[in-house]
Amino acid sequence: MKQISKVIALIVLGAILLGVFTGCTPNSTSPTSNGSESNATVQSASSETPAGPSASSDEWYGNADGTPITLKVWGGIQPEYGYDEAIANFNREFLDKGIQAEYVRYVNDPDGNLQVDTYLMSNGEIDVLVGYGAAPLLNRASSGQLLNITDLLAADGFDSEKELGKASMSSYWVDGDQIYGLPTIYSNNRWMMVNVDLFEAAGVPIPYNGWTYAEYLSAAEKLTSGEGPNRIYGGMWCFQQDMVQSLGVISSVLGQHGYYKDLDSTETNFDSEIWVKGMKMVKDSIDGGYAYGLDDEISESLTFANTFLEGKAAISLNISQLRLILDTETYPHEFKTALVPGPVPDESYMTDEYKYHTNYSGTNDLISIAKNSEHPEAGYQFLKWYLTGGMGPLAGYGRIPLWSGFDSNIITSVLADKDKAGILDLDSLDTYLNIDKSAALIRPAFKSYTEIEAILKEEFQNILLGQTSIEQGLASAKSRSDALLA
Amino acid sequence: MRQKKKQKDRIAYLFLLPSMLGVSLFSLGPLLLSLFISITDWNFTMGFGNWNIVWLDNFIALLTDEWFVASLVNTLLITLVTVPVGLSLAMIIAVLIDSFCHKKLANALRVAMYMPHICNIVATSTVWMALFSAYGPFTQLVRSLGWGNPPKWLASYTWALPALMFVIIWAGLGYSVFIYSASLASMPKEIYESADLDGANGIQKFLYITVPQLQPTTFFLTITGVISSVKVFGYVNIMTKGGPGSSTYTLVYYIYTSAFKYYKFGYASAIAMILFLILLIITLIQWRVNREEA
Repeated sequence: MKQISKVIALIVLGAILLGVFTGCTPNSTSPTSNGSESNATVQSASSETPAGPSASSDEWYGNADGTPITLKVWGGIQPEYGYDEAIANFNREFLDKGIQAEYVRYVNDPDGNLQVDTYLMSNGEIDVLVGYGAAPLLNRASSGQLLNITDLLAADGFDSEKELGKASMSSYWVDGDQIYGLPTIYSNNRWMMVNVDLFEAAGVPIPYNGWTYAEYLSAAEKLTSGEGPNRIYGGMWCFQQDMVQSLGVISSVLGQHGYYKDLDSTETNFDSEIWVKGMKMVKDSIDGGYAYGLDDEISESLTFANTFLEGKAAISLNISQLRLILDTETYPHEFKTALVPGPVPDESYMTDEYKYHTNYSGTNDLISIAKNSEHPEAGYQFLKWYLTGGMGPLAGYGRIPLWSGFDSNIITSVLADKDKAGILDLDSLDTYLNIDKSAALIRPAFKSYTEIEAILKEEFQNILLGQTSIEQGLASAKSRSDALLA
Repeated sequence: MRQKKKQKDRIAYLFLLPSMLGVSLFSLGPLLLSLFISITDWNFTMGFGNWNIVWLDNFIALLTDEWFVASLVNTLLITLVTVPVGLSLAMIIAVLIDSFCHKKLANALRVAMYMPHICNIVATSTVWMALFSAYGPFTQLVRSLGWGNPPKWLASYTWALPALMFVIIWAGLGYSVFIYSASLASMPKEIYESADLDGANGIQKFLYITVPQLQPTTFFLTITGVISSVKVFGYVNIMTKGGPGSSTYTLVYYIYTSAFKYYKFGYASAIAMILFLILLIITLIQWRVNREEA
C-alpha cells in the first residue's frame, strides 16, 4: 500500500514538474489569431507551391531546399482595411522569388507597442514593421531594434528625398541623415472632416478653401443644436485620441520652428500670441457649448467613431480615421463627409502658405526592417514593393500612398469606386490630395522634442479642464520646457 | 530507522521542489533582479544587459518627482479612506443581515454582495464608467436627489479620486461582509443573552460585544485591505488612466506607466522597491501583532 502511495506521489510530482517546465518553455510561434492571449492577429501566407531556386526568376530569396521563407509583417491597421489584399498580391507576385508574407496586426497603443518592442528584441519574430509617429521610430532606431537601411536604399538607387519628399523624410532622419524607416502615407492631421448634410441644413458654407478662428467658432455655434444626450455639437477635437492634432492646428502657422523660437532649440515659443489665440479658440468652442470638451470625452468615452460618425458632431479632427468613413458596415451612416483645412488665426493668415496647412508634410505609417530579422534582403524587397505601389489596396480605405509615383487620380478613382453610396465629397478629397506638397517645411531634430510636447499636452489638459488659465498654463509650459533646453 | 527518516525527508523535499522552483523562478528571482535594476538606468528598449549602475540616483530623483509624490499621496489617501470606511460599512451590514434577515434572504444578500468581488475588474469598471457618465444612472440619481449640476466624476480633478474610492469600496464590501458574517455565526450567543438580562440595548451590544468580539477578523481584514489598497491598479488603469492630470495616479499605476509606457525599467523598479518596503512594513506589523496575540 505504501509502495502504491509513493508511486502515485511521484507521478503527481512528475506531472507538476512537467507543468512548471512546459510553462517556462518559450513559445516558439508568433502571436496567433487567438485574441484572448494576444492583441495581435495574423493574416497567413499563401499555401501555393513555390517555383524553387531553379525557376525562371534569377532572384531567389527563399531557402536552399526550394521552399519559400515567410516574412512576418507587423502593422497596426486591421487586415480587412487593405492589408489582406496587399499581402495576397505580394504572395502571388513573389512566390517564384521564394518570399511569402504574413500580416500580424498589433494594436497601436502603449500595450501594443510594448508587445512590438518585446518581439523586436527576439530573433526573427518581426521582419518588417509598420510603426506610427516619429518618436517610436527614433526610439527603436537609437536602441538598435531597427535596421539602418541607408546603404540598402543607396545600393538600390532609391532616392528617398526624391521619391517621398525631403520635408517628409526630415522628421525621420536619425543621427543627421541615417534612415531606419520610410513614411508611406500622406496624412495631414491639420485637416478636418465635416458633415456636409449638417452644414447644408444649418446654411453654413463649407470652408473648402480655409477659414479663420472666428469663422470656425461662428460655424460651430450655428451647427450646434438639441439638448442633453441628443445634442449635436458643432465641433469634436478628439483630444483623447490625439491631443497633438489640436496643438498642431495652432502651431501650424508658426511654421518650421513648431514649438521653438529658433532652429537651434534654445527657447520655446509658448509666449507667442499665437498660442494664446489658438488655445482661446479651442476653449471658447467648448465653453460656448459648441464643441465637446475634454471632460465630455473622458466621462462619456467619446471618440471620432461615436460622435462624428454617428452624426453627433459636425466638424472633427482626426484625418487618420478617414478609413472609417467608407466602412458603412461597421459604422452605418448616410451623410456626406468633406475634407477641409483646419482654421487659421485671422484673415492675415488666409494665404496659400497657411490656409491649406501646406507647410506641414503630414506623413505617417513608417515602414522599417527589424535589426534581428533573419531575412533583411527579402524584407527590403517587401519594403520597396509595398512603398512603390504594393500598398495600393490600402488607398481604398483612406491610407493615401505618399510615393510620388502614385497617381493621385487613381486614389480618387479607387475611393470613388468604394464610395458607392456617395458619402465622400470627392472634390474636397482631390483638393486634399493635390495641395502643394513642395511647400512642406523641413523640420530639423529639435532638442527634447518629445519631453516638451508632453509638457505642453499636460498644461493644455489643465487649461481644458479649468485647472489653470491659458496664460498661466502657457507660462508654466514655457518655464518647464526652457529648463530642459537650458 | 535513520535511513527511513532520510527517505521520508527526500520525498518531502521532492514535494516541496515544485513550489520552491515556482517561488524562486517567479518571485524570488524577479525580486532580486528588480532590486538590481532599481540601481541601474536600464531602458527596456536598449535590450537586456545594456545598463549603467547609477546606485541611488533613481531613489534621489523620486524625492523631487511630483508624479511620484502625487502617486504616493493618492495611494495613501485611497488606503486611509477605503479600508476604514469599507470595513465599518461591512461590519454594520453584516450585523444588520445577521440580526434582521431570514436565513434564506440573508444568504441571498451575502451572495449578491459578494458578486462584485468575483466579477472581472474590466467588466465592473466599464459598467461604472457608464454609470458615472453625464447622463448615466448614477449621475441621474445624484441629480434627482437635488444636486442640479453634478460634476463629470471621472473627468474632474476634485471628484475622480473619490469616485474611484467609491468603486473600490463597493467592490470589496461583499468579501468583508462574508468574512464578518462567518465570524458572527461562530460568536457565542450566551454573551448577548447575558447582556439582554443586564438591560443592554442594541447599540450597546454592538459597541461593547460585537465590535470587540470581531477584533481578530477586523485585524485580518485591515491587513489584507491595506495591502490590496496599496496595490490598486485595475480600476485606475481602466477608468481614469491616472487622470485627469495626476489626480488618480497610484504607485502601481506609476510603476506601470514608467516601465511599460516610457520603458524606464530602472526608475520603475526603484518605485517598486519603495512599494515593496511599504508592504514589508505592513506585513511585519501583522506578524508582530499576530505573535503577541498568540
